[in-house]
Amino acid sequence: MTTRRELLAALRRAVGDGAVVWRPEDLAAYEFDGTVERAVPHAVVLPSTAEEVRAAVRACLDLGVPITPRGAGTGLSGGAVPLRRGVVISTARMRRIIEIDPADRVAVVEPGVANLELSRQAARYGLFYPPDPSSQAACTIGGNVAENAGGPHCLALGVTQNFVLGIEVVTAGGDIRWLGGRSPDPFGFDLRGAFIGSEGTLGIATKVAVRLLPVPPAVVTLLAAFPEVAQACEAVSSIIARGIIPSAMEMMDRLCIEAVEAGFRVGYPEGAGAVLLVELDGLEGEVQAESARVRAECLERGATEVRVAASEEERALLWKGRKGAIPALGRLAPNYYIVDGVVPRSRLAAVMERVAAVSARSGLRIANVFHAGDGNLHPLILFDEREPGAGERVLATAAEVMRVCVEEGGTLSGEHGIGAEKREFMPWLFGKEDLATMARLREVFGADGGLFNPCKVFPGGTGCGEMGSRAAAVRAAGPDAYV
Amino acid sequence: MSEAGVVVAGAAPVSVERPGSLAELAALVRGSRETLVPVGGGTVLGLGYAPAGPFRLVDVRDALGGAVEHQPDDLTATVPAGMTVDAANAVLRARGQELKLDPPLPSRATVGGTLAAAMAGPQRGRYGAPRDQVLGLTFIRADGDVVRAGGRVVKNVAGFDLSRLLCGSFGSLGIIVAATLRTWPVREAVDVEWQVGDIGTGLDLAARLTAAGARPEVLDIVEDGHGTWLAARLSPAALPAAEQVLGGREARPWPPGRFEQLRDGGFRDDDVLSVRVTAPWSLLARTAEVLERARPGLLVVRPLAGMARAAARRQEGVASRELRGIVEEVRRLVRPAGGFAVAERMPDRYRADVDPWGEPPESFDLLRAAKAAFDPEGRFSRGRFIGGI
Repeated sequence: MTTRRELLAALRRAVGDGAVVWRPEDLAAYEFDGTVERAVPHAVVLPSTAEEVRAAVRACLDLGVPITPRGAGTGLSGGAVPLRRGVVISTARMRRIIEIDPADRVAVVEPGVANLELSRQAARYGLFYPPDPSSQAACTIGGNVAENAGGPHCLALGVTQNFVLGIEVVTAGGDIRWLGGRSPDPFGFDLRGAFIGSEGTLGIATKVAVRLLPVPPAVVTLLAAFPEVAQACEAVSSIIARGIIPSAMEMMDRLCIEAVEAGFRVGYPEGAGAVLLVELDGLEGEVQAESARVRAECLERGATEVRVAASEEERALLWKGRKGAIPALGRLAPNYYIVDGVVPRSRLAAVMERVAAVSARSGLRIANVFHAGDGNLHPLILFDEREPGAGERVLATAAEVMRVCVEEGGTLSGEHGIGAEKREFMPWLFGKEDLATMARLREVFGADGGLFNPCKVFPGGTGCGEMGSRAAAVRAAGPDAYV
Repeated sequence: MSEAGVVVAGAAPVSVERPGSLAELAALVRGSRETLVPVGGGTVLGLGYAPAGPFRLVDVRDALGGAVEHQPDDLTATVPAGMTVDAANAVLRARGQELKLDPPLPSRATVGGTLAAAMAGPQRGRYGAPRDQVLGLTFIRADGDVVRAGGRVVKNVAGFDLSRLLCGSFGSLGIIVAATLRTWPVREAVDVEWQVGDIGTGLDLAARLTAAGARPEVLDIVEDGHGTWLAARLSPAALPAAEQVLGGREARPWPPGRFEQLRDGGFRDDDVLSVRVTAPWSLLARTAEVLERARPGLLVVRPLAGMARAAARRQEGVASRELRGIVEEVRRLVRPAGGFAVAERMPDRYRADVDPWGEPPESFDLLRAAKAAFDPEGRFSRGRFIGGI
């Protein structure tokens, strides 16, 4: 059994005294992420280089201490919470943009670089990094790699998986390796692709090479109001069937609209059952032609009103309601729980009805915002945590919603990850042998010892404690929350 | 694939198996002591090393047949691996959609083979590699069990993405049974090209065209003995912007067979040499210069895919020693950027001189570990892939 003193001494040897956090009052900042999972690590290390990350990993492996990687801690599935305590390795000091190469349209960054910061810096060359998780001002590229993060604008262009060219990793076994490089295809098995979305269970990214795209010259945003969600869903399908792939298609249901209208008075039509935001980008001529067709499709499917915005200010106004939806819901209830599920696009309307039925049975109100273009739902279960038994009811309700997604041919997560939150549901999707085959990937990275981000992704596991199975992703509604 | 006299990178199998069902194929995998080399249309059988030791060639097309399950409203389709890309697309195009898989010789290339060998085509730059089209797949493990990875929806982060590992594994980790793929509406497009003088100019214009906001379906620079052309497939609304960027150069429509040339070059019946290079954009001009020395009749540079390919037919090309020097020089050039060069096609007598894959990457220990984890006994295509995996 390793003592705390031995552990701290080993970590100091690995990364230096100034990079080890150990005082209880300092550790408190590392006990949670965007969920309410809570677990206090024994220590946190803040390495500055890949070599220091490796030294920290090896020190932990030598002592048999669990390791939990951490980016900005904005995750929504408990991925960064150290459920078996041990050591958190934070990438907070690895924030350099190593290079932006405008000729190759490639950036190489350290894992702690914030997603939005990369796009800001790339803008100097007329380039941007497309995946845009809603926490993009804070969330890191390393965390995005771990979760295979998406965002509202991933519909046309793709998610993290489609933009990462290469990753330098410290493997769970304690080695530094490059997976892929700066070229579009990997040489050999695509271990880079297999690592992306592994939720910090196979290693820690220490450098990431990503593809950048030219900033599109024209952007148009449309807002369409419909009497019913089903009509808005039909509009989504018919737009795509016409060969138009917008950069974003976002929807809100009646409860969201009412909350937003009460909160911000953005001027949504009274009585609207669904609001659909469609964003198109590209060349001026393309965008104009497509926006006319999107407008016509929406009207044909029963939209009562379609607004079109082309200037930056007008677009910001149309997005204001969508981006303010969650804070607005905070006026209806003090707490909410975000569910992340995906269903086939054609099942959206039917799933909305089933979610409404789940809500009625549970007695908990559920508001819906979703990335409609790719069938990615974010039902928000509203509750008051001060009510006795509220947490359990919320979790049971969320599980029912997840069950609906799986029954309709969908999946457990579109962009937030399985983490601690949903790992017990994995057998709904995969058979025992499917999961066992997946788990073989751990052997490749030396993660079969079970010390690397334990109690995540896969069901079961020892020593995960009550917290691991309780799996609550309950957040207090904050003013800047947005999914 | 015709069965008589078929060889794999110059080596003859001890037998050719043609199981008639998935169950038979799985049983064959379970019971086999020899290495099995799964094959679909056989379009890239010459690529890579010969299998290590005696092997059985397994034509999986009968076993992995069936129908396309198309969900047009979801823009997805589940396709049996043994079906040809053309056959799958024929079903989908009747309903206004298609797969963005365009490997060489799609009338023979199967969907499973295209994914396993990561064979991309002219639309790679816009739509990504074959693996980017995959939402989920089922495959036969080395112990004969059939397992699932991914799902059927367009966005999914539930669990490790094993489909990424199978795609491009060259049949050495498992046999793909069926795949759920994205489908795309067939869109109106215009095919135009501009004479550009040389490849460097073509690359420059391609950079300016895309920097202006165009997202072409195809954007290739092609040199085929009839000049050097920048060939683009664009949305009609993008054409005026493209013409503005190309500043006064006169556009002409693609000559007949241009798309097929860009797609199939290197794998046509009379192609004897083909070298494919993957590299970042800024190395493509120098890569092309080196490849020119192989006296190819066809040179295609695909900047948005970071690809250059030189193909030579009979009467073209160079002797094996020269080819070796050229391939090695390209490898020295692109390798520091994670690039690589594959000698995709060459006469068997060249094999002693020219290494089709080249030196394994630095992370080769991880590739070996992957092989050990998923195919511990070396049952699938042993010896064929990089480093003789």
